[in-house]
Amino acid sequence: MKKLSELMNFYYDKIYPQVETLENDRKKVLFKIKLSIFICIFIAIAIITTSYYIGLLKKGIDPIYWAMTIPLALYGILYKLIISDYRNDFKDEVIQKIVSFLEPTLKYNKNGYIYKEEFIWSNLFQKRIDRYSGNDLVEGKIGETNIKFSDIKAEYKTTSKNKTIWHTIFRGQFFMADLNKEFNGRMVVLPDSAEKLLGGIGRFLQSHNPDRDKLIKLDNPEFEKEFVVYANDEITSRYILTHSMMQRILNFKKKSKKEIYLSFRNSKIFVAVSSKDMLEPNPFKPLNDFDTIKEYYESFKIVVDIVNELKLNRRIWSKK
Amino acid sequence: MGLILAIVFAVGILILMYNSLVAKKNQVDNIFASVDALLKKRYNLIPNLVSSVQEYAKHEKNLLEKITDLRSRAINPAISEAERVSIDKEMTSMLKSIMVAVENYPNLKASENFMHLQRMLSEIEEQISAARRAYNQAVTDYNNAIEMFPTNIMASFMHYKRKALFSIPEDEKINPNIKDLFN
Repeated sequence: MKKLSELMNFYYDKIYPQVETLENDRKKVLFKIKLSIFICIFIAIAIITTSYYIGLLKKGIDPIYWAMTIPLALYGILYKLIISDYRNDFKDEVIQKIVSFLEPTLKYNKNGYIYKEEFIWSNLFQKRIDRYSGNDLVEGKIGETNIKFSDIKAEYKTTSKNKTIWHTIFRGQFFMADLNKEFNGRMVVLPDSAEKLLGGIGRFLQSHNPDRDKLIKLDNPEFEKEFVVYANDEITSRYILTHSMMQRILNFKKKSKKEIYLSFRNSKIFVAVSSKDMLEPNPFKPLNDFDTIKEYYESFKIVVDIVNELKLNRRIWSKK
Repeated sequence: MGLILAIVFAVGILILMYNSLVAKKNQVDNIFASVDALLKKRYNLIPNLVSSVQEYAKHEKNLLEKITDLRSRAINPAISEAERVSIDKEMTSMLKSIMVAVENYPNLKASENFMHLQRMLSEIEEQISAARRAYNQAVTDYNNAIEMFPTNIMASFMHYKRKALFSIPEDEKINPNIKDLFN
């Protein structure tokens, strides 16, 4: 466990000296982005004025709609182009160092991500996946526990009237690790939206969910309020979800302040933490500010801490 | 016509209630069987435990004799459900006493055989704990069904009686200190 003071030392030692070139790049990038915004606003105004100018001749074209969508799309494309090199440099220099500092045994691969098969196998999200991508893969061993995690974006599409709409299945960090207990079953712990909204009826609907295993009712009221659990066996599910484990999961949820999903399958644990892609360098934030670096560090730390939070390194049972 | 439909509907409801009560009772029996199987697994580890401790801890003869006695009572198939529950409680506390006593024998603690045994016992205790909790949930569902309206009427016709819960040792509800002794 690294203390804040150690992080500061690390920052001034390793990051700050290197940061000047990158910081200059960032300023150039920021300038180009501001320029793009200006250009896009200009285009928006241009579209509105020209379409009103020729509006008397052409009908059926809504100028406001086009004045918003075209510049927005253009901005999106320009942003990606401008930030691409800076992003790669940032990841190679800053993120790599942060990960090594967090835990020297961890390896960082900015383009890697958890395999789609593993994601599907966790059984957390059952919708058919039409588009799957990710980045910022970290893998290694913390104590006795092998871990692997990355950012993941999984989507499905619906088509209507020649328009394709993409919907997010999951977006955030996806973590997987060895479980410290032998477990041959299947269990998922999902955020409990139904019970929160509908109370008893919600509970009834949950217990009759055809896509999932049996509903397991647990003996911790706070846990039951936050999560709904489906598993294929009443006993093995409680073997994993002991009172202390349920408490740890609750604590982790409170600490992370995000929606979390857990799955346990064949002695592996999967944790999905919903969030926006956090590892993208924000060109509006200066790199020579310790707080910026601290933010990146913390977004990693919270995932790596799953091992400690859930005490996955506690090997007092038959699994070593 | 309407009368026939009403009767069919009423009969349907009665069937649903009957089946749901039977299902709940069977769930209880089902889980109790699993609890029993796990308890047997634990009892089978006892002889090994006794012989390893005996080698190093000559002064604990009393404790070891007690646990061997308890075990022979436990594996007797003729005992009632209630007795099984009370023996389980005694066994749990006795195992804890042994683990505390073992602290005085560092050689024993360090032996390969004992360490392996400790892991197995630890695992089995957790599994039994999980099984007890599962059993209690099944019993609670069953008790609720036979006491709540309207299924309580059906239940009294079926002569279903309230079942008792497994009592869970207090220190399993919080993170038990004894488990940290193992680390």
